[in-house]
Amino acid sequence: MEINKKDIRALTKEQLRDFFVKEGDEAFRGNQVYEWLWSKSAHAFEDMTNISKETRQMLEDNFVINHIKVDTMQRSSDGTVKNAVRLHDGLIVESVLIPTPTRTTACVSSQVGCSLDCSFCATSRLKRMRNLNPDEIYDQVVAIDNESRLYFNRPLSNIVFMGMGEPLMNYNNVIKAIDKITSP
Amino acid sequence: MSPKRIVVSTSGVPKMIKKMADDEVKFNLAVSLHSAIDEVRTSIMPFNETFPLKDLQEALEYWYEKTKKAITYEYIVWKGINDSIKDIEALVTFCKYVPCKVNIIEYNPIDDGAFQQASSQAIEDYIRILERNNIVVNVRRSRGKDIDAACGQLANKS
Ligand code: SF4
Repeated sequence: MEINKKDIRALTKEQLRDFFVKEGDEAFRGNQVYEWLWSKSAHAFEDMTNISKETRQMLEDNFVINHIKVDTMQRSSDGTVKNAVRLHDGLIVESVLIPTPTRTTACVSSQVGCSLDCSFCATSRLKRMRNLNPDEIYDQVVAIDNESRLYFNRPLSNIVFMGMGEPLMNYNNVIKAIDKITSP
Repeated sequence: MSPKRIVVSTSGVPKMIKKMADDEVKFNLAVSLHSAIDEVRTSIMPFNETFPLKDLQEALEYWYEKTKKAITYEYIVWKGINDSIKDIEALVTFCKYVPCKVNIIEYNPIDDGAFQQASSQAIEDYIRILERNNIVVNVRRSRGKDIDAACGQLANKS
């Protein structure tokens, strides 16, 4: 992993637009790249087919796209799917897909470990390592949505922030992720 | 996806619940309540010492005032911890503060067995008494238990 390159998805749309203007390009290029990152869930700069080759190379030289990776996936006899998701720094969180006859619900994590210490909860036995970034929360949803389409032939219908972690202790990032999930 | 289909489930951090209300968020709020008696709640959720139920109540009233959105209380019933009539009556009182519904969740034991699922009699008592007080109550069967995917089980085996 390149340590000195920036995670491009840490930038807001405005920051991306500014970046292109500074590079001598048009601001709307920022919108195009933003759309690839957030609406089309692009995993690599080379997937951004309406961006010129030179520009893609330039992005490649400056940034990385830190996508999560589904490390292991387990399926329960009742249809429930659990993903262990590996983050770019090697830490792992879990998210769950719960199918019912009328909906498919994603249960996603907001922290690695938890800030709190409820005595009945398995997550509380883990040390809290860090908050998840907005893109790491968003990616869990995308991964579960893909599995929902694959296994149940329908998109995800509901999301609950009830996985690992206390979402309100990572409020800003949770809000940013929800904004991305709900933006049309 | 519409924010109406998103639920943020918190253990109840009063200051942040008020902030969400001020931010006029459009998603739904669930609170892991598990007990409406301070001593009991503190014994299973130690941070309740810092944010007692009185503060939670006040934050929830503020939330409802601002958003007009009902709250869902997540509630697990454990043997010998919160399965008495006194516990149920405290919950009924708490449910009167703001419009809400209650989800009774089946407990998934994690390894050491200190917590055990309450008897079905205790669960039935909860349902009966809540309904008698016109409180909407659902029982959530646990899903994905065989792969440790159920509520509170995540990271059980890592
Ligand atoms: S994950 Fe939820 S239940 Fe578990 S310790 Fe954190 S707040 Fe408590």
